[in-house]
Amino acid sequence: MSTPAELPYLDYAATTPVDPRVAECMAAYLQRDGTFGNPASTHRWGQAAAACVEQAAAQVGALIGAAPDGVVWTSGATEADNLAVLGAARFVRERGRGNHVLSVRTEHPAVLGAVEQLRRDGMDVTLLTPSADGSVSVDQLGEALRDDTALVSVMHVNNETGAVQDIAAIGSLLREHRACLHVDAAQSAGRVPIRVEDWGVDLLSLSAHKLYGPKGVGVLWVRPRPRLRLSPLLHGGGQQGGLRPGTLAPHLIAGMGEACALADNAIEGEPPRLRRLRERFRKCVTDLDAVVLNGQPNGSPHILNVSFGCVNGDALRLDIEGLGVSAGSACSASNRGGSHVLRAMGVPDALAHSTLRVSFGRWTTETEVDTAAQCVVAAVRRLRAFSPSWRRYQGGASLDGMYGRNAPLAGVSGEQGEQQR
Amino acid sequence: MGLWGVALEHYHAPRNANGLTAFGDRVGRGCAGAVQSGVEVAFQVVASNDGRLAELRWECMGPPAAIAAASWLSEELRGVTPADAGSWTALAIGEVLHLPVESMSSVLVVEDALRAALAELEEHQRSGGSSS
Repeated sequence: MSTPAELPYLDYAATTPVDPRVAECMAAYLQRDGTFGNPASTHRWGQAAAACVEQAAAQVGALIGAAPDGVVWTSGATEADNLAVLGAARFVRERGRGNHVLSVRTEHPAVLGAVEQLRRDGMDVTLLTPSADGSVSVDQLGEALRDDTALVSVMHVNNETGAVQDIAAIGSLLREHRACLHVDAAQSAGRVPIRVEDWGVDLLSLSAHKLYGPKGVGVLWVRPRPRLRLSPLLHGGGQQGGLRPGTLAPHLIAGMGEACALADNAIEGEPPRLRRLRERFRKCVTDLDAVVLNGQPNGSPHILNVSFGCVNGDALRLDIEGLGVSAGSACSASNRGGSHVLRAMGVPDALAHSTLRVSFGRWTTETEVDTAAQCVVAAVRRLRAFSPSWRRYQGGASLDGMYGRNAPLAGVSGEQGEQQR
Repeated sequence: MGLWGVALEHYHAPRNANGLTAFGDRVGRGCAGAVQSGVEVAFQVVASNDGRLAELRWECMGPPAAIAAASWLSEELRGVTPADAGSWTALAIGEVLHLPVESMSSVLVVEDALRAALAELEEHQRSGGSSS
């Protein structure tokens, strides 16, 4: 058995280490003789910093296929999601031009929480239930769309399952509709190509730390032409057009710009390499039998979400202690209630409990994948050796029969029962 | 999961797991829990000539505390009368093994499975004993 120190980090969907090239770029800003100016100042120190911010915006824009002047710097994707959802919906509502928001049950809590706030403020909210593989169809969205829909928010790649939504198709559905389209692309950036302007996306959230950049910085891209207007969350000195005031942090911004440039350079070769690693792990663990893949077989190349039947999730976690993967509900570690994403996809709670999210990244090697897969396989085999349900499974019982299915969730009109937080 | 000492040792090297295949008057078997709740336990108790428990075997799909409790009981109750074995409660097991409070619901399932096995043993011995 491997000791914890030898077990690899395969949780790149949670966060990524900063790329040394990004760190080097950032460090230059933190020196006494670095670009320390306030980008809002008009003297040369300020202008030097402003030029760096502008360059970083161009690097972000290049990665997502969007005009750099749409870039609004935030503290991360959570703030970007909140600014997009609350800002766009409130702006429209205050002018009496819409009172409905449409999103999906599998969204990140940053979107769901903001949407929940809109509901408390009196707006109508519809949360769509995805199909078993985590995807929502354009037809489903079209049916739920109303004349007074102000905002549609759909994430590109799901953070727990890696399920990819067809944003291009959703964008063309909305082309003839006044609702604006927000996309949380924190997980997809650098893994799946993003063409914001070709797809007709109005708002797009990004995070630097999912992309080998620093924590504490993100971007909300806001369509500049025709200009999309938002109600700001913060009020202050008018920076970034008053949309997100506060002195910009050039070292973080430059780091995010550099991270985006590196990701853009690798966008041809890196995704296929990640997909091979994902396949390698998948093959290894599915040999165990009674393993369920949550999400699409060809989802995002860097995330694999698998449930292991006939073992208890707490025991599985203890047996793989030291391995850098996420268990159960991946993105809400404090939430012991289980994964809202898997529940929305109809995965039974007990099965969702024995689920691992494994995610691969820039420094993941085949050896690491093998070590991790062997660790998981050994744990599952050991626990199944004395599991009564495993004995029944081998005797012909089915996972569906033993676990049951979750009660079907309310359809598109579901106005209640969204995750209470 | 907060296991330590004897409990952790039983968790990592469980004793008397599997082999629930004995049959006859001196055997009792019981199950408790459900896959849907993530905890399922089966116990098998075998009595010797003098009526004491000669062997206990178990299966468990459950959290670490339940696995540890089942394994520990299977050793601890050997040589004990069924009546004494039946007096063990989840609470007492949790105290002896210092099991975390939040895992006690799964230990209740272990208790239920053991009691069901002891009840079946008693029934078998009552009906089997009259014929011998």
